[in-house]
Formats: sequence, structure tokens, C-alpha cells
Amino acid sequence: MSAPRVEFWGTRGSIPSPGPKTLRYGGNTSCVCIRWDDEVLICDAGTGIRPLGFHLANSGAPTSGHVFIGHTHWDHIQGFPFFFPAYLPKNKWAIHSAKGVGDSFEAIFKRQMGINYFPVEVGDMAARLDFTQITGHPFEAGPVKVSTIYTNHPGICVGYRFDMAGKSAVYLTDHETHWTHMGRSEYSERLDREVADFCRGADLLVCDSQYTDDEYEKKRGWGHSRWRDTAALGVSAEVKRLALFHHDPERSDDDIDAFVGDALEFLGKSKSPIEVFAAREGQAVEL
Amino acid sequence: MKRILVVDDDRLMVDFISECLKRASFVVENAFNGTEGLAKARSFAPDLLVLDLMMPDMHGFDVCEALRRDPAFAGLKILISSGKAYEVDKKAAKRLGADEYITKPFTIDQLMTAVNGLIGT
Repeated sequence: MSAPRVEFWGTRGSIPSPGPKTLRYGGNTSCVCIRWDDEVLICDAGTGIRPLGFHLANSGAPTSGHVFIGHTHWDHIQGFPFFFPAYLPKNKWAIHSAKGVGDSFEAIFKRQMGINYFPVEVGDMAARLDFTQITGHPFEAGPVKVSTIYTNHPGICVGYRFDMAGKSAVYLTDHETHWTHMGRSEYSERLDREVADFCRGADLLVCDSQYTDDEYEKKRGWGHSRWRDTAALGVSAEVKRLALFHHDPERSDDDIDAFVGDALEFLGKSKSPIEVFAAREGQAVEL
Repeated sequence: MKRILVVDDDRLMVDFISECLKRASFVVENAFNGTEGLAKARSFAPDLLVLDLMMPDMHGFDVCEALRRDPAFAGLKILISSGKAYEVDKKAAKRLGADEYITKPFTIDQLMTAVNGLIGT
């Protein structure tokens, strides 16, 4: 049995941002794939799911698996119409998320492929697609235990924890640290502790780190975190590795290098053994 | 005496809210998840629901929607009590039929002002 492997196919937040300044970290929106033997677990269907789909189809990978959507904002679903394995008969994908505001997850997800938005409807995709609404209780995706937590983001958004083969990975994006958003109080610190407990001891935490300190002052309440608070979460949760994720579309490769340097210095001062890096499109991490 | 049902999966928060309301002479019942909240809304027949949003089994928005679909609860007031301070969530709550929204953490005065504004003393 092989070790689980986490692949980054889209690391960008908000909107795809191709161009000469984003060549190294990539411009595709959120998509991370966990591969473990025959298991394929995809987190989010941003535009990164398009190259992932071709890779799965061309590499003889299993044709079935799970897609976990954090929430249905565009940057987390907009790649699905171009997910090639969903067009192949005999394929079977289970697509999970929380119920949306005022409508079922399935209805909201399908709407982006309605006739006014896209030439192919979800129902015309040849693969079998099963939509499930998560309940908040842990569940199983094959041999993998999946737990969820609500994140602090406008609307309804969830983060996922995957436990398998004695290893664990947490995918927690589109999350604004509670205390920075609502101010320091016993209550906000308790909410942040609950998030840390959810991430506790993970081999890899993939986490929202969209803003620098200066940007956050202008974008407090937009539902995203500063890299500094994400690093502090990693320390508090005692994770082994931390992937800074959901890069701002305006963030250049050089900018990302700079804040990784800052994060390394921050963790060094905390005497934390965490290995921190900025998630890069095309990167793979073995747990 | 007016009756209030508090629905929240956070036991510390339920204790705090219940105690404040009891001291103000309201008759109070508690529920610790959305499903239990819906059941107790039927059996306890409250005048006001103080409703959390981010509960694991059933989101507060879903509880709110279910109650607003049921004519039996036409007179029920719903006060959302949530740690989420986003304007879009406040708008969504109103759209789904909530009457008022307060953001945690709140003071006793803030809670009582919201409650009294909805069902009086």
C-alpha cells in the first residue's frame, strides 16, 4: 500500500490569473487531488480540475472517485464543465458539499451549467454523478474517513479533513481567522481553537493565506486570512507541513517567494518545526 | 409569559443566553441542534426562536426556511445569533425569513434589546 500523495492542480483564489508573473505558482483556481492507491479524492473544482481531468484520463488512473467542494463560489466550481472524466461513460464520481443558502447543493452546482451559461448540462455528462449533501458528521469515502468544519466565509463554506493509512491532510480554504475578523475575545479565540483542533496533528494543512498584513487592513471581512494567521494556526494545531494556498490573483511569483520568506522567519522565531511552503501548481507532496 | 426557544450547538452560549432570558422572566427551552430545534418548536410553541447558524447536523438557515414554510409558525419571531458577521449572511437571513440578526459575542444589553424589540417584555 502506497503513501497518500497530495497534488496541487490549482492554487489561486478568486479568479484565474494566467500571465508572466504567475508562471511558477500557477494561475488556475483551487483544485487539489489526494491519491492513495486506487482512491482519487479531489478538493474543489476550480480551473485546475481541467488539467487534472486530462491527466487522470490519460494516465490510466481510476475512473471513479470523489469531489469535495468547499463552497460554490465560482473559483471552486468553474472548472467542472471542463472535467473530462465526467464525460466518459462508466465513470462514477461522488460530488460532496454542504447545502447552500436557500437551495440544495446539487441545484446550485448544476446551475452553472444551465443553458444560459454553458452548452452542456450536467445531466448530459456521460459519467454517473452522485451528489451528496454533507451533514456535519464524519463519513467515509471508501477507506478514507472524512470530517468537516464550517469555515468563516460569507455564505456557507466547509473545510475537509481526510484521515487514511495513519496519515491526515486538511483542506481548509476560504477561511478568515475569527479573531482578526471579529476582534479578540474569549469567544473568537474559542472559535479559532476549534479550527486548530480540527487540524490537530495533520501531516499536511492546505490553508487559505490570501493576504499580507497591509492587504488585510483593506479587505477585512472578505472571508480570507493573512499568511501570518495561517502560520499561527499551523503552530497552534501542531501540523507537520503547511501549504499556503488560495493565492491572491494579484500576487506575483516574486511576491509569493517574499511572503514564504517572511513565514519561514515567523516560524523560526516561534521555534516551530513546521515545514512551510507556498502551494505551487504541479507540485506533489507525499504524506 | 412569553416563551423563547434557544437553538445552538454551543452549550456555553446556550447557558449564557438562557440565563439572561430567564432572569428577564421569559420561559426558556433549549435545543442543541437544528433537528431538535425543529421538534421543540412544535412541542414548546415558542414566541421567539434564538437561532445559531453554523450547527453540524442542520444549518440555521435550513431551520429558518423549514419554519417559514410551515403556516403553523407564521407568528413566530426568529432572531439569528451567529458568530458570522458578514453582511451577505445577514441579508440571506432576512431573505429566508429571520426577523433580526445579532453577531456573537454580544452583551446582555444587546441581546435583551434585540429580544425585547421582537416580543416585548
